Amino acid sequence: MTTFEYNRCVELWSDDIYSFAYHCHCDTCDCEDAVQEAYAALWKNRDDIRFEKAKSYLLSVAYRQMMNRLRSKAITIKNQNDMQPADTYHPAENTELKETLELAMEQLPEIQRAILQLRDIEGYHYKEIADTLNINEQQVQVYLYRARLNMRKQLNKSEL
Amino acid sequence: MKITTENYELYLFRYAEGLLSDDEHREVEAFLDAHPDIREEFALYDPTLTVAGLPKMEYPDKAKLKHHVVLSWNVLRYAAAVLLLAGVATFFMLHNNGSAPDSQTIVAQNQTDSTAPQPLQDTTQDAETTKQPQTAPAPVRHVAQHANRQQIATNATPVSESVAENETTQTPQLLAENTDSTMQNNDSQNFIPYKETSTKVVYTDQIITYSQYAPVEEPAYKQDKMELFLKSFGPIQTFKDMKNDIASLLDYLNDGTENLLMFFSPSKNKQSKNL
Repeated sequence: MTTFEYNRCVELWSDDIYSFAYHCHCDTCDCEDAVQEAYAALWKNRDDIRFEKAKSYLLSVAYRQMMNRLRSKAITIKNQNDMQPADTYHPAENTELKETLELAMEQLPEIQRAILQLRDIEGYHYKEIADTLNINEQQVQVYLYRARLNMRKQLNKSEL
Repeated sequence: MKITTENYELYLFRYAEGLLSDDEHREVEAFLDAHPDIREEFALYDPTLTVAGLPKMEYPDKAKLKHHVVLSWNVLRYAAAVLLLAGVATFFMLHNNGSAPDSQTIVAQNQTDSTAPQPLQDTTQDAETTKQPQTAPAPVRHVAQHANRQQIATNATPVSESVAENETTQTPQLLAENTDSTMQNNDSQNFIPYKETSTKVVYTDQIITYSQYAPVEEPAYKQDKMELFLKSFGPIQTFKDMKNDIASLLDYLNDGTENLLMFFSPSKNKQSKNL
């Protein structure tokens, strides 16, 4: 990959990677860091990565970065005995569909959020999702089933 | 594989997506009949549920993610050549916009060429005007002479070089003074200045000069001049070719950047080798 292609990756996909990270993690600072680290990894390995595979690589790296941050944060919070409730869902405050979807997404585990986005937003096939997240296709389908089921349960909750 | 309470999610997903065979389809339905709690849960599953409507975020500072392209001297040399070429081309186009192409001289050997240019105007024999074509002011509408063959045959010497002759550009006022009666009757305000171009056909034993006129501001004339100018650059003949050459140069710049980065950052080579 040339420098021009790398810069084109920034122009084309930085918003997508940022959205993916944000909807997976919902923390702006961490998401920006994840995007920066993903592009830093792409630049470092640009000789081995083709332009066509760059987006999948960026998503994969960004996802791994977020998982690492979540694990380190969880350990820190556990050590401080200051565990905050994960549920920040306030259905009464949200009426629009996008906000409802967003809040329902926040209730899902990170792997399910990631798979839902890769499938519904990026339009990836099961094999591509499996390669990006380093799992197998059957796991992708099971997680997708659970994610949609949980989303429906959350949306039903918000309608009540 | 048999459906169990451990793996039923995978089968239910494929059942909802229509990815199962007929046998597997019947097996899933039998499983749901045997497990009403799972059927109740499966009733909530919505395969059409999508999160595609989630708001798209915009990364705040893309410029920081980019890497600047540093051009090498080799690349800059080509870029400078292109800019110089474009500058020279613009200069000539601007300064030669009002002048006609010079006369063309065709040298034939001992026989008449079938593709020789034909006169656009009537021609008359006038040996005196042929003798001094450069000094005598050319008539505007009707200047065409060719030599008395017998007289020139006695004085003619072989000519091997082309000479531009009889090229005059005149303002409407000057033309009004020199024109014949037909031209003087015309309205000078609406008069389009003419430029004379002559084509001299030089034979070994005779000289025939044809004159023709073309309006200076004729669009078709300008187009011909542009093509003639572009042809002087060899392979670059049209703006399309020019555009393609510039695109090729950009491709070269793209590849050249890699060489430059390798040149200016030898530590990168070491790192890649260590990796």
